[in-house]
Amino acid sequence: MDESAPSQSQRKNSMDESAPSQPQRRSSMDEPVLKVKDLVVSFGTEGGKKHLRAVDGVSFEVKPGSTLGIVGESGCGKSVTALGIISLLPRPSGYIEQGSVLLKASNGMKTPNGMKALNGMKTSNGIKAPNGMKTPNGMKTSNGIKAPNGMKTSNGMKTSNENSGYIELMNLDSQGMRAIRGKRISMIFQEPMTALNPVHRIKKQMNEVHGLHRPSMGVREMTAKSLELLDQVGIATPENVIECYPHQLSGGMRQRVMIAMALASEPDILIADEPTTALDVTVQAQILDLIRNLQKSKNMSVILITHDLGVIAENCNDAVVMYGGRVAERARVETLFKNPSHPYTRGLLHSIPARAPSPGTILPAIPGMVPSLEEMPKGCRFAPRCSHVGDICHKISPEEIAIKGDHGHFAACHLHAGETGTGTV
Amino acid sequence: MNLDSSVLELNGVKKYFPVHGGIFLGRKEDVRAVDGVSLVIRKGETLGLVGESGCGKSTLGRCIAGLYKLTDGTIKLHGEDISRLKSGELKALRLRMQMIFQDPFESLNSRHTVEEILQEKYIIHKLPQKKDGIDEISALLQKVGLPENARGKFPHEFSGGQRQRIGIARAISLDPEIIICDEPVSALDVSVQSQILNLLLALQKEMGLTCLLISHDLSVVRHLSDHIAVMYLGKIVETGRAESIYENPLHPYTQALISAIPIPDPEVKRNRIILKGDIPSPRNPPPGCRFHTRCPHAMDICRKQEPILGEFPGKYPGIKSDEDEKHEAHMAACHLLFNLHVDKKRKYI
Repeated sequence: MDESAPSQSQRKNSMDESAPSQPQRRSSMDEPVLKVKDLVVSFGTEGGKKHLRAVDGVSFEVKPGSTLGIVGESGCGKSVTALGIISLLPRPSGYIEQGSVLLKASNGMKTPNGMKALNGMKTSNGIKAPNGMKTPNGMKTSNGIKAPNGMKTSNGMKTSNENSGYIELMNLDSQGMRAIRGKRISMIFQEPMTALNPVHRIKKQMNEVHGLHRPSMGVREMTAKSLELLDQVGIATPENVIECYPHQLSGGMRQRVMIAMALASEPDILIADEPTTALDVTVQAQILDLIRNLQKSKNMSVILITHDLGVIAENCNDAVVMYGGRVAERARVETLFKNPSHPYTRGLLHSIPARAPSPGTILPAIPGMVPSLEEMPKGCRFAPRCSHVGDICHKISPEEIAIKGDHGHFAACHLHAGETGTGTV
Repeated sequence: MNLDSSVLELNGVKKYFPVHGGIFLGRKEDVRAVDGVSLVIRKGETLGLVGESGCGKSTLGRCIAGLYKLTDGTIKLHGEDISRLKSGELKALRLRMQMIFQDPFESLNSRHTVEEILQEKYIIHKLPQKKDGIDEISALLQKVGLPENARGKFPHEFSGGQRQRIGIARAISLDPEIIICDEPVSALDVSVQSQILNLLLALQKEMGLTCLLISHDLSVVRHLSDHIAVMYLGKIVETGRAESIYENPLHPYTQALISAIPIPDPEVKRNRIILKGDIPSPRNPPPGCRFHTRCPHAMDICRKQEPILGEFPGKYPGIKSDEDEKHEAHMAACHLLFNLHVDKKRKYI
């Protein structure tokens, strides 16, 4: 594994400008397991002539044992963000242009008291080119895609103090990433039928996962482990299910199998990309309940990607609202629903029938539709649909602003310019 | 039943799909998609038909629209049986009844422009495309909120929400009496979904449409419907006024269904009923009550005897006459209701 051994001498050495309430007392328990900083994912189109940014500067943190929800409409970049984190972007067109994804070093390698400094995050990361010498996922250099700018990969950040105890996933080669993927970070997808191999029995597919992560395991041991996992995800007759082909199982059962496979190596982070969208409501309730229980029992962090604000409200601790590849707003879930500060979040909440004052009333819908990546407006991407739009919105893209009065609540909107809330999530 | 107000009356509607198999590919068994449904939809009303995938709600919608031949039962439109029409008579029926489909991409011909798609109906029914000198198609586009220049474009040039608007324009073009909406917004994004819901509400009010709304999304159904019918494995398990069903669901399935909708408000906590297992196959529905395999309250009788829709005693607001009372009654098909005291104060939403 490609890890930098953190050293004791690298203590936090300066104060964060946004002054969190207890800057030094952050125990290692509260340290985020995953820090995504300014992630930019681009796709080369038309033979590499054009580059479209599907994700444009997304930052968030995932706390241990908690659930982070990423919510947004189709095309907002929520799935691409997840694929970027675990380097599963479609190759060769998709690549990470810049940004950093820091995963906390696993327990064995951790220094006793976490020593994360909160400053200087902005300076950290190197810009990565798809054909730079550090190709994160073994991308081909021959595909003719040119990164628009700067091609330096700075490795210095690995030793920079705020990131000690963390592994920079962007610096890993494909082999290093493989050791992380599935082992430390697992992912489940929306349509389990396409994620499972239709021509192999569940047994073979599940055993394969064990084989990859622990090659020393014998077949009998693998099968026993698979049965145990299927039992954990609430399958009543694991012995029967393990002999089935995917098409013989219902949607809910398939999703359970996917979850069982994702849990095989006891990951620290489970990324669930629309895990229940293809399922019926009663089955959705079962699966979400299952994820919640497993999370509790295994103290796992979950990144839950969904378009359903109801799912966010009931399952997440923190939420990130995305629009047009950018973060519109992020906050604790309670704060987000109580005090939505971005006009897009407000619009979304008002347009849900379940939140209408009474049935049959005209919903205050957001006019227009999400622009395509090619025709993203210059300034704020929500400006053409926004009811509070001003001149500045068409010119300058808003930065994330900490909302006054709320802790860890950010909105990227000019309406809040000048506000200084308490930063740090 | 009062014939003046009931537009559509379904009586014991059954639709079985034969499954062929075996050595000689003979008829092996039936998939009982719709298995004895009786319903009434009154003028200007919206009936929401809710259920999970495979419960037969779409099949029922298609039976009503005359797209499927019934296995048994009758469907009456203003007292006239429309379930066994010949193709010529069906054409006349389609002037009065139209359908909006879930996937606006699949249901629009991709080789036709919007103008051609909308004109087709006028050509088929030999109706003039101009009324009082105004082009009907322009009027339609305006009605559904599409720009005039949409006429010459092809469906792929539009977003999902706009395509659904084209689908709606096509459905309302000949001033139908009844519209069957099969999952009209489930393929759309949240912000666009509300636009389409608003459009449907406005059109219904303006044109006095009678609607059958088929959806799995209970919050959508609640928003648009006056009455609700809950389906499970081809049968109606509960019907009643929308607010009465939401505030006091009687059938354990309805209770679980309502409790399973995630509420977009983190401060509302509710005791969720989590059902075990999946919906059984309609090929081989369980004996007795079809829900007993997943029901948390299943008793011995549920495994043997099939419950019938029974009226739940109680007073409902807005009841004027006996006819009304019959129509407004909250009915559920569950043995529990007749054997046990139902806690009326228990609310699930």
